[in-house]
Amino acid sequence: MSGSTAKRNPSDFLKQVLGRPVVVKLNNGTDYRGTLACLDGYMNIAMEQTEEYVDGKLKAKYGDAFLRGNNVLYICAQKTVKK
Amino acid sequence: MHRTDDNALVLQPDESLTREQGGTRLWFNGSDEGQGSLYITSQRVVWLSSDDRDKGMAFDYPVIILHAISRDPQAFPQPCIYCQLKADRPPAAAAAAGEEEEGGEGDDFDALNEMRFIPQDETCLDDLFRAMSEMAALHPDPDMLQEGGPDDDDTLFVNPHNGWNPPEAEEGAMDDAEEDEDEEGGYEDDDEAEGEGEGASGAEGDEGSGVAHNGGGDRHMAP
Repeated sequence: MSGSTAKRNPSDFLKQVLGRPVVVKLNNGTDYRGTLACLDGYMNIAMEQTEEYVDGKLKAKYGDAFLRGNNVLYICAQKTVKK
Repeated sequence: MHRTDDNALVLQPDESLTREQGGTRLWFNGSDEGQGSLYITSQRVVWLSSDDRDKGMAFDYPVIILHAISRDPQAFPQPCIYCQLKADRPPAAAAAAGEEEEGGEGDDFDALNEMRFIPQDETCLDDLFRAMSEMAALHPDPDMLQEGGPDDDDTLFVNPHNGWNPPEAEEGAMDDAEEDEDEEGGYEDDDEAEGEGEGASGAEGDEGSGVAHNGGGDRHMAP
């Protein structure tokens, strides 16, 4: 856990990544990369400039996308924007 | 599909119409279902064919895994609302599958239905998307409620500009959660935390990288 001095929690993390590039993985294995626009307590997720990756391959792009929370496996911040 | 004499959707008793979009073509699993009207209601997304009074489709929000605005001509020639639907499966299988982290990886998600709503007037895409987002957010899955989904008044997060506005995050929510480098994230389930509880998230905290998991919740962290 490099460089982190204060305690942080999931809520802080999620607030911090709003507006930033994230990867969202669904239970079915599909990855969505895009800007996290919005998130609620059910982990419903709205993203912008979303790219859909199936088996690591770019499959589609969406302007805005809404992912139902119950299908979300995790949200992960992208350290750097991929290519 | 129930419709009135003038071809409008007949609403259910507890249903209200959020948005109607005439002149909307439906593609379902790659086949063109023709022109029709799209209805976004408090309970369902419904499409009624203009050509055939007996033809229509209705979808409850929980089956819509994803909806999105598609403007990529490589994906589809016209701008449209793209949806992925959970495939039908027996209720028993649905109940058994599940909330466990890895539970979704199985054959239960193999089949996927896709559909596209293509309105003649593409300027309404944002409004349609927003309406669907708002309605979808009002329909969490029943199993998430049981599992300790958030109360209406707590959490979360903010947002910029796309019009879907969950309640503001409360300061101090989930203060008890600690960082956890574990890849599986730190599920927090502390009564004192006013955050979303186990149903919603855990996190790996690090500047610029982290993970927030959903579901599961069997792992509890010591405060």
